Amino acid sequence: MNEAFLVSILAVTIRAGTSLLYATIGEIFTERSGILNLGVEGIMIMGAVMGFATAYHSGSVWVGVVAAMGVGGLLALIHAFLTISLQADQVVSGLVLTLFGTGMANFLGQKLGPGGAPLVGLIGPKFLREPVPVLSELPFVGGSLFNQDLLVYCIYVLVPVAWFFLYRTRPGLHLRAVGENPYTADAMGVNVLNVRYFYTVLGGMLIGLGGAHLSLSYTPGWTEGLTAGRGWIAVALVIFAAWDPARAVIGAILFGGINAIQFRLQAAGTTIPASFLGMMPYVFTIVVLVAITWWESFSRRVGAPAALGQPFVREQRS
Amino acid sequence: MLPTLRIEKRLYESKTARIIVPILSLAFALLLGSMLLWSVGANPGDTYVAMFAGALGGRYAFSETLLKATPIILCALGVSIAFRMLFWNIGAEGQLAMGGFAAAGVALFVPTNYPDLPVWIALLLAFLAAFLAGAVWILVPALLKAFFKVNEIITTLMLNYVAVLWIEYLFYGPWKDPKGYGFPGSAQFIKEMWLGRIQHGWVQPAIVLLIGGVLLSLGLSLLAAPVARRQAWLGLISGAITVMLGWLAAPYLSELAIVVTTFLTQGWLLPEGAGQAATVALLWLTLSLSLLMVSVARRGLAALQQSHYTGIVNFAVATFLGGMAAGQVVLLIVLLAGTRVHVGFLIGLAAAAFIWLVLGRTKWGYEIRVIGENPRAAMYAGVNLARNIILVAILSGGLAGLAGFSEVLGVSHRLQKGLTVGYGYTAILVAWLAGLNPWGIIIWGILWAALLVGGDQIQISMNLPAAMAPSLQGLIVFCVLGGQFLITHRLRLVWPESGDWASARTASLSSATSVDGEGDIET
Repeated sequence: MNEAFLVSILAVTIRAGTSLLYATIGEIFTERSGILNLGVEGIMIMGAVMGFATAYHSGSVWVGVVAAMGVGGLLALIHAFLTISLQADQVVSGLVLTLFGTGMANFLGQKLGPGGAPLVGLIGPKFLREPVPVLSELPFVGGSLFNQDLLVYCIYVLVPVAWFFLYRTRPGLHLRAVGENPYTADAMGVNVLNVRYFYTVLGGMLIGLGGAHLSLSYTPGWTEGLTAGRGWIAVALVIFAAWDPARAVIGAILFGGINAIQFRLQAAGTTIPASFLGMMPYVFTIVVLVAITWWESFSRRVGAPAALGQPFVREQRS
Repeated sequence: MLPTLRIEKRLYESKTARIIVPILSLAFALLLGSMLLWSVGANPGDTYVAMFAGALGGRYAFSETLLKATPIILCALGVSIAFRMLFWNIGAEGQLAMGGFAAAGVALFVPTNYPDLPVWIALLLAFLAAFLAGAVWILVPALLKAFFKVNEIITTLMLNYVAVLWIEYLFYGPWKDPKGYGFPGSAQFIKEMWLGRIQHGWVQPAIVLLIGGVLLSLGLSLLAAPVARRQAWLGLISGAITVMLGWLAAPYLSELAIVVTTFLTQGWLLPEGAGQAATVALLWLTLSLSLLMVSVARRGLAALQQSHYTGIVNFAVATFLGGMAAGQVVLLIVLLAGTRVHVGFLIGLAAAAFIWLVLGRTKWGYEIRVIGENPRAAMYAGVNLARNIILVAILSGGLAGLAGFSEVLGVSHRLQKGLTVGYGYTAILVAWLAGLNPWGIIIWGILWAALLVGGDQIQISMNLPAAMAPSLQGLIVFCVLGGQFLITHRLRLVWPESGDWASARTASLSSATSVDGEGDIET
């Protein structure tokens, strides 16, 4: 266990955690407004495939990022329209979005390469590591925290900003009010429907960005089923984080760490079959979810936004 | 002045809307889809025809659709019963995988280790093992939900990935076919363990059972009504005679039926050139007719119990109905004999009937429905929530496990990579589209399978962008989902000068212009 080894583990942890964290923060914003979006997995994988495809054809990772955020926002808009305007069941609509997104992404992956060829196996542009001038010289943290790509640095900024926005600003207060009690928020003069639309779409864009980080940085390129349930893990992380962006960091590091260990063990050539190693994140998610739910049952933790999953109909106070 | 559109909540859910709205949504989705097709330069009409022909327009196409529909229907039935009590089982894919694993385990090892064991016992073992494996796989989330209130959406879903990795481990590792040249799959099962396919031999028992069965059940139901004792015995006796005579005459009868149906569908009625498409058109016509017949028969039988007609009339009607039903079934069997459609499809039909009976006719089904409508009310009424969650979960997971049984023993005849291709996820859509109704699930399951098969077809034959098929599927679901709004709400045009709708209504009533309950108000 030398330092270089720990640094590399930590670096992989952070890179794996980044895409999860983008998706988790996106979903936190969405759920804080009272909309449950179970389409995370579908939006994420669409972000991944569109991000990689546009980056491949344009030659610019940033165009890819914009495309991923665009497609994420668009998919979230469908969910918003169905659940906010048409008051469709949020669970069903989200599930449909995931199924639709996954199917669509796999089909697009077979056709979006040059001349209608599959994307699989292509090598496109990716985010390169850009060490921060002074900080990356620091021992230990320098190599792991400050020798990453730009999307990772973006999340270092995003988390405190999201936290500050949510708890210390007026629009953040309105957002929380809409999720806790939309009727009171309505009486305060907040336009509930607009707020819900806005944060659902914003959340979708962040989730799409998380997908783009997967295909443009973490595992550059496209393979079928690239996200491998990360969207669902993000949904679980939202519960773990108690809808707080700051706590989400802990969760993302935990799950990133599991991924890092899994890769390390595989690289070290253990006798444990790869399939069993692959099960680790999923089993771990269940264990964490059980622990957190059990803990919640006798602590006075702040739970889900009270109006989560309920449509807002002005004439019909509940 | 332009009228404004007002949205109002319906006080009562309209029954007509429940049937009409999904159909209109489907039509609307196809309309949107045709705009999409037109924008990529394809002819929408041709594409839809090609899709229909590829999925339903021929014996082979239709059989492929039914083959794909089988696991979807079984999983959707399982999912639907859990959804009914708001237990969101998203894990049908994993339960299917575990069911397939258990069935494959029995099929691989039981016949070789116990060669003296009759095959039907081994098959029964595989069936039970698959059911149990699916049930066990959902039991963990169910127990966690029942006792710790752990979110079941996430736990059932996470277990999907675990199950898929588990069977991958098996067919890449210990169960890998030594003679498979690196092909990811287990060895093929011995032929005796394969599920039977639909064959001409089934025509005979089908006819006998259907006509005899209708008569017998008429007799039995009349026996329950004390007025009609004499008729009841007549029914039972004639039912029994039909069964016996039918059994004796069966070889000739079934031969005749096969000849006649083959003749009708492929010979005289339809010229050779009309071919398969016309055959299937005829089949769909008769199928929808038979659905109509079933509903008529149900009412007819109920009416007969109270009628004063002589026994002969009753039994003539009953025989006629049974004969019609038998005719449909014979047509189906003849059409599907020799294709890959197997017993699994019948298991699906039986499961639908079972769930329909349980939900509609038993105390347990009533409890499930009450929990789904209002869990708190159910709790106060003394319904044991935890117990019901666990029991329903077992049935739900078990049915998905049976889908694995049917896929492994009926289609692939080995455990292989193609087992988990998303049927469990599709099933969620189908269950929901069907409004969790078991018969609706069969219809939507076949429709959705047709969409999958037809989608593959248009990619190959029309050379369309591959994203077209999932786009169409997405459009359909989103439109049906959005259309739900029109079941609970209605749109009304309000003319600005007429003020609010109530006064507008009285005004228009007094001026004696036409007013219909639902429609717009004329001024």
